[in-house]
Amino acid sequence: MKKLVITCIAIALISPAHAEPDLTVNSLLIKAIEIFNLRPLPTKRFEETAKYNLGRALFFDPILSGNRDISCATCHLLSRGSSDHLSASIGTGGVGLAEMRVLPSDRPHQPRNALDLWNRDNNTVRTMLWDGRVEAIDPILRTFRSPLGDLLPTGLENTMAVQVLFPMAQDDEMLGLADDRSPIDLPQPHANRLNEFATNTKDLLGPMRIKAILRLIMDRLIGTDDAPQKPWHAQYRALLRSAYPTVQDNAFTIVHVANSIAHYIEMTFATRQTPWDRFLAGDPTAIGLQAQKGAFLFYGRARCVACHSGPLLSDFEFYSIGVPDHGTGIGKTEEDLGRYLVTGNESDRYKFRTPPLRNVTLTSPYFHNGSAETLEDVVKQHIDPLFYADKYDETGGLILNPAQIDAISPILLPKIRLTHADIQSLISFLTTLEDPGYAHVDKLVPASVPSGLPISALNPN
Amino acid sequence: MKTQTISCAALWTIAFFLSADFSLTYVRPLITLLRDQSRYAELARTCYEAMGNLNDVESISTTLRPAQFRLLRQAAVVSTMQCYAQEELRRSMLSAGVSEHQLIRIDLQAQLQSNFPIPNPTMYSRDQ
Repeated sequence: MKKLVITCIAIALISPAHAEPDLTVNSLLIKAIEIFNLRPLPTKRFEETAKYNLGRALFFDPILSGNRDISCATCHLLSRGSSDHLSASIGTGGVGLAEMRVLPSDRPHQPRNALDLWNRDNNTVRTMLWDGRVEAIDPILRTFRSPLGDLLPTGLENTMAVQVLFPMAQDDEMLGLADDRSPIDLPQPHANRLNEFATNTKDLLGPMRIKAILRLIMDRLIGTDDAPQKPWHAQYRALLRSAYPTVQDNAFTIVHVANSIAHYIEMTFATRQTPWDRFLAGDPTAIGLQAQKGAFLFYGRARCVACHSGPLLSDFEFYSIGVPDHGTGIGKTEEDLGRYLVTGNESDRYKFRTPPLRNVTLTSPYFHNGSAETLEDVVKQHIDPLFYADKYDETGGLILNPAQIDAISPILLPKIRLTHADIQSLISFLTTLEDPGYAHVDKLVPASVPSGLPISALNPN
Repeated sequence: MKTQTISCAALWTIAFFLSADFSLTYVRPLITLLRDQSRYAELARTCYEAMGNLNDVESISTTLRPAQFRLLRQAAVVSTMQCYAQEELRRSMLSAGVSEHQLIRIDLQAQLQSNFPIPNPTMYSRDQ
């Protein structure tokens, strides 16, 4: 009798009627895709050009940093989804990589979370960094707004190339402090050298200082007529000549350096063939039922698409979602005023740029201060932006001040009602935006760099 | 011994076909009905919330940039597509013999369980 019952249940369970709800979710999602006119992201072809090789050497070479101890690759690790898995990045003076990186107590800590670098060459990327202090005014005419103001050199090819300039001139990122010396354990002739970038420019301010630092970087990289030649000068000149064959030898500037680093980033950090892109291209099996439910929520009831729109799932605008302050904030103040520090507009207080979401699963922790450890925490903050409005910190004060509460985006104020299952479906959808497979992994990390300095890199796999 | 084995196999074959017939006649329709009812209740709840969502979006229209409001409204309209699925299922259940009275009862229950317009404490809370 027992076997009979089991057989009955088995037959009932394998009956084809069970496929019905799956098809319904699929058809609803396809209608949503039509409404939002969603298209797969074009696949970028990998090309190992002379410009790429120059960009790769520069991306990994600590020679660009004041103290010769940090490169772009230190905080934008291939093995950590182009970020570093730290809440707030650790710049020059830090020891180790990724989660193991530590900062000596006398060094300034960076105030914000390192952003990922995925798909930054896409035309929709109008603003860079959490506060958008680098932005494209007209990407076609290549006019940009940046901390260099009118001193921004011409010839920078895109927003990424403009952004590349600024970590090199930031004291808590790659620049370091005046009178700093490089670590004594570096190979010669790099050990215990004065940080000339920070020291020689210490009396300058703002854009004038940044411009002077960038000129000194070029002097160190390719040498000057009146200073002794170093072994790497000739190598970098040769790389520059290969990458820019029409440029005169004495005409290489920081613009060529920035353009080639941006080119390396574009080639290396391009998502190719995520499951979601394959689904959009017409492969119904590319994502599962739960992810389809999540996508339907994302483009529907959860309202995510209001800001996370476009091919990179960001509108590159600025909003506050009630994330409490955590750490020192930029300018080493108690609170991080975000976009306000760039525009000076009262209405921009506490606002930060909408982050793009491709490969978001690889780049925890999240938010401008890295205060959310998981994507579940991130979704919960969005659906309940006033959560901290009535909570107290350890000093007895309210965690969010009235101005922070007022700044919260009106999009989030009408309650978004999601169940636990809904949240899991959304996360399942975000997982389909993942493309961890770097193209041509063996060509991404150089064996060595012209300066002979050690490379900061962890294997992408 | 051989005869015994043959009759045992024959008995099992008869039992299998009987069970399949029993399953197709009684168990499967019952499971389908229960599953449809549960799905109908879920669709009713999400449809009701989607309608509330549409109201919410309209209520903040003046605070948003036009392009953003357009996106948000599109999202609200997408969420109401569940209402068409609910309507489709309603018709299919009515044709399968489910009474309209029963569907109205499920509808009302779903509205009571919904988070709209009164927040429901059984839904997600970070205080938990």
